[in-house]
Amino acid sequence: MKKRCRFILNDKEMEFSLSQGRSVLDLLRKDLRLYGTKEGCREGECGACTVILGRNPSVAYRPMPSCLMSAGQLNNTHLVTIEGLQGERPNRLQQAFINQGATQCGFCTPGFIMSLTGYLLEGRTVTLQEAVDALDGNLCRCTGYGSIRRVVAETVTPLLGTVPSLQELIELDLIPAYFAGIPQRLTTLRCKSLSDSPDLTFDRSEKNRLLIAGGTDLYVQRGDALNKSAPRFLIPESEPIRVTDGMIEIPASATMEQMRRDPHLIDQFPGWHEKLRVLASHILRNRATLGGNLVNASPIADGAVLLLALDAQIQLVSSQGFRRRLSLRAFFLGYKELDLKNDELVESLWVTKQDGPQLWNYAKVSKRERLDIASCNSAAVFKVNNGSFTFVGLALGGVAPIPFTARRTMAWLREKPLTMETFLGSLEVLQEEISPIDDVRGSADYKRRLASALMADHYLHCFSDICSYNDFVKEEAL
Amino acid sequence: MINPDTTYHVMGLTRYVDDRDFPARGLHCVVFFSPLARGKIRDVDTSAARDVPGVAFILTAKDIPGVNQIGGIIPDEVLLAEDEVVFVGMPVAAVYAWTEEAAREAVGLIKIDIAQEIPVLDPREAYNRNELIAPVRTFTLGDVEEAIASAAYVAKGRVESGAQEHFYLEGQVTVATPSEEGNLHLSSGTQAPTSVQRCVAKVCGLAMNRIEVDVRRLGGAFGGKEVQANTWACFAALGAQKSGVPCRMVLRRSDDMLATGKRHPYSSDFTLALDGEGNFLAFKVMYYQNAGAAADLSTSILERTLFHATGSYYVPNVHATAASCRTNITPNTAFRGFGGPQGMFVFESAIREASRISGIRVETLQRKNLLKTGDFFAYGMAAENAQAQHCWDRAYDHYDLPKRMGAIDAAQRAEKASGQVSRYGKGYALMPVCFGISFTTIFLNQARAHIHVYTDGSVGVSTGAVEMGQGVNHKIREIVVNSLGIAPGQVKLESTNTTRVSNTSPTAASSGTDLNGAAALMACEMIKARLFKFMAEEYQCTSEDFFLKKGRLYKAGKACGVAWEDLVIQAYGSRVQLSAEAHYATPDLFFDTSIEKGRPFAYHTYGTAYFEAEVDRLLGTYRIEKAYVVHDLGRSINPLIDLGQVEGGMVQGIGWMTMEEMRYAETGRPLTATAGTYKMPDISSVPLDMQVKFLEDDYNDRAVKGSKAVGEPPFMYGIGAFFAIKMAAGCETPSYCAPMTPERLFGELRGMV
Repeated sequence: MKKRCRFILNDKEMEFSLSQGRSVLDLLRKDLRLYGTKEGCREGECGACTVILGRNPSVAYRPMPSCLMSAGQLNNTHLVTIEGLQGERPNRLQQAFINQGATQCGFCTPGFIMSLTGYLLEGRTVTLQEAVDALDGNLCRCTGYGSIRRVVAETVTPLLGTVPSLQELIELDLIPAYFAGIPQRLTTLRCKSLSDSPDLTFDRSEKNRLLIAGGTDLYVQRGDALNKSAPRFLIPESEPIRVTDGMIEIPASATMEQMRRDPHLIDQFPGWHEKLRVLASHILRNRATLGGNLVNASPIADGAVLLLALDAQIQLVSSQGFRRRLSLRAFFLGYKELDLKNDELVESLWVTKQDGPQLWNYAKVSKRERLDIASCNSAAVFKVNNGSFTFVGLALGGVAPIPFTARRTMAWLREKPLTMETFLGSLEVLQEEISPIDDVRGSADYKRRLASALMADHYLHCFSDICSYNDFVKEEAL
Repeated sequence: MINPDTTYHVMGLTRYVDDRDFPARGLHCVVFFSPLARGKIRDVDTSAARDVPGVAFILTAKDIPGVNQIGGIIPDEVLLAEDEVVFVGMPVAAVYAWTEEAAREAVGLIKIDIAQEIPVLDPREAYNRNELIAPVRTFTLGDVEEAIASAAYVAKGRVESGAQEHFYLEGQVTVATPSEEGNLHLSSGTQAPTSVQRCVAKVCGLAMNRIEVDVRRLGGAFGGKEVQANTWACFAALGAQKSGVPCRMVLRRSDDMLATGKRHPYSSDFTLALDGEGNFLAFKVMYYQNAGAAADLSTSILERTLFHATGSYYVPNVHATAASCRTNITPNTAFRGFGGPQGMFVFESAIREASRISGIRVETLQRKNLLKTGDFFAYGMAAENAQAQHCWDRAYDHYDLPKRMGAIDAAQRAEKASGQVSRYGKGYALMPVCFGISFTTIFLNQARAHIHVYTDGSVGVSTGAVEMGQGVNHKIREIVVNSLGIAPGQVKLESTNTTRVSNTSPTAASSGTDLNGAAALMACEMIKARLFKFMAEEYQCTSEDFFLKKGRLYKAGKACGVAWEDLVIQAYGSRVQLSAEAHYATPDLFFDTSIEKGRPFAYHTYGTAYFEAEVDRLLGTYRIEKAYVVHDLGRSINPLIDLGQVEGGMVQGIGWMTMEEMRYAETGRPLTATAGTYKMPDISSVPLDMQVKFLEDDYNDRAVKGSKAVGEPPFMYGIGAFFAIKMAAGCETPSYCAPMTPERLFGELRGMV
């Protein structure tokens, strides 16, 4: 089923009919014959197809992989491809790639340039670390990245510590001048197409149609089928995370990056921002939504493990508009089995707002630190009073058919004193309640022992005055 | 001089094979692969697939007009399965449709009935069943047994290294276009245009002169498009031949990773004997190479393993045996280093084991035994102009290594003394590399270049070299620019095309510039000689005094010269030939396989890398923090390109030794053949502190302009990362099994292996 779609592609207003589920990558390369965007993997793993998407007015530009984006979600956006950065000659960033020899075969290069340019357009304070991190979803097989790091350092230096405006980026020759007019043009476009804006919100009467948010799992699992489909859409990052009734309300459409950068969560969980860096990659975090992460129901889902430890609640809404809220811990029933009816959608997640920073930790072990599925991951939240645990939230991924809440360990720890003996005892309880299996992410034996190591990591991180690594080794607890 | 290709890359203007408009009246090919590793085919049912709208036709083995055989060195590989399947991912049928979507849908409807047999996956098991690709080979030097009998220490062990996926960013691709005479033009992503031409000719039943293969550039290859490109070129060609319309064959990543060969896994047993001072006395080794289901280049790769059995070291007594074992995984293939890395990893492991049992420091053993000029390799060649010690010592000085290593040693001693184990440990390792340059298949060491000077003075250069990111075209441009004394903008590097330059050797073995650059230089000299002779006649003088510089022809002693453009047009007017074809063959190479002795290499490239790693002993994770290199390039033609080769090669090597893991189920099905499950280094996992220093004072008189080949040697530095991690972990298990994934390291730390 084709529908009309209006957006700005680079410097040009576009309007045409297309299959809503068609991937933006295929739209660009096959339909529009723009070949600067490369197909590397169709899984969002390589970043060769990275484009920049801008939405008016609240959300700035975001770089993301076009292979996982639906054409139907382009309405009222500014889509920028490598062709859209082009002037007569290479811009400042492109020239830096040339000067540093940071392109060899060249196939990955447009993607790198889009990711870094997109990062600078995000409307956030630029740091060198984050600029490099913004490229962690782009693979280069030729250069070894040394030269690309030198490019980043050279290019972002004049912007460090600032939130670059469009005007500044234009003056620095990092984006073309037409960007300045885009906000106004997007507003005009939006007005004109208001009567014809399909699928910006979910239409609950169409309950049998698939719902796509970030598409980061769905396009990997069944991209060919989606390409021909007419799904419903939930626009990633279309709603803010806010505090409501003493709770932090995270909409299902919140992206992983939105969640990572949320000031409420950062305040409440020290190190939140840094620790969540190991979730996916920058360009995927701009796309992947929390709702999608939960509904995909992977037993190793990073978002699920985090929110289970935080004892979050999940709010569902039916096609009739009925809402119910339940503990996320009750949402996961079995392998890929959820307490979610056919006509229900995940609407939001709720985390209790606490006064002041909490004792917590998140740790993940995977073959590669970034953009890899964990062998095991775990999050823990501790509340302590008078030297004893009063509350423990503990969740692990990869140790059970579902993202696992370690209820027995949590219950066992409650009221126990903060001692090495308690810590060691909890490891034994944990071992009794987990049931990892052999798979491509690791052997059952590995994951079993990794679970204990992650638990020890929680204690070492939160209670370094009470225990040391040496204590765990000495007690042969690992 | 800046490589002009890079401007197009950064602006997204570079056109790879699949970046051109493909006609609506053209066919798309998608291949149906065997889902099982081994068995007899009872039936292939394509009836439902044929009914998919848009499907033109489906080819199986019986439809091949020529010969169903794509084996290169050994004819043991069919293009399409006949009565049996021998690996998961083996092509069984090729679907041709008017859209890629239709072809893909049809492939999903093909059914195959296979009488399944138990696959062989372990090369040792294949060896025991005598499933060998070719007879076992042995290189010997001196008397190993006698030396072992007299040794103070004898280290023995077993070493495993895994497969590695090339992960070129541009997948396998060919577009075939038929002409009205039924000839075929192939725009192909291959490192070996002539190999594609030969293979397609055979499969299509056509003479080679009817197949034109054109290669503009590749989006990465690393050996993975040397032989492995042939298969996909054949499918494109068959479709175009049968239909008379263009045919496009582009492998999607998931198909590419499933169906194409990888770096060979090896399993090896070693014995290293040394005297009381740590001098190596004897090395005995048996390599079991996992060739996969067909020969591909396995025997050549195995040969290079034997050539590099003792790495960068001199060992007076050697007995190295190697078996290429046939198993039921994808036919494994060339990958940067070409068997050298597997051999060197075994030797470095042997050194660690020798250190462990003797108590002599690893670095002492390494330094003491590094190759010196005049030392003999087991294959009968002596090291010439050996730079092994020089690179090692320069690394020590330049990077202040004694101080760095001393600090880490001191921390380890302090930790031991305190009785307290710390969570984070640091370790280091040095990795010297000595790599022989030349194709070890002697006849491949030839190249041709064809240069046209046009009447406006611009120059077109065709060679047999394929540009795949390594910058060979630009290096050749520099050679031509310097030789003719003209501006870089006046020299255009043409695509690599079998109708312009015939019988090309693959662009491989790091030899692209050595061979093709030398041929280009010869062609320039031929043209210059004609121009000088012409001018000498004009001026009534001798031609020796002429030289070209900055766009002008000068005569010694004269202040002003003739502009290049004027020279060219005058020469043309006097009917001087302004084109030249030159042929270069590397001199002095020979090898006698009956005695396994000779001079297989023009020269050797040397270098030393130093790594520091930090291990989290609790979680079994690690980080390679520093990588410092001193590398011998001779006289670099383009230092920026060479730096990129050194860094890029090293990081690939680190990937092979650490996170890159190909796993197979017991059924032979690959478990990590997707981008989501196979992990290669990303920007955040490579060493933050990476420094490369070139040896300035070397000149190599055995390659063009005093340079040295650079593609492969740096790959093997990555081996050092493995040992740095092992040291940082602090576990002294005599286990030498790569890749060192976090799971493996965790197992070593917990005594689970």
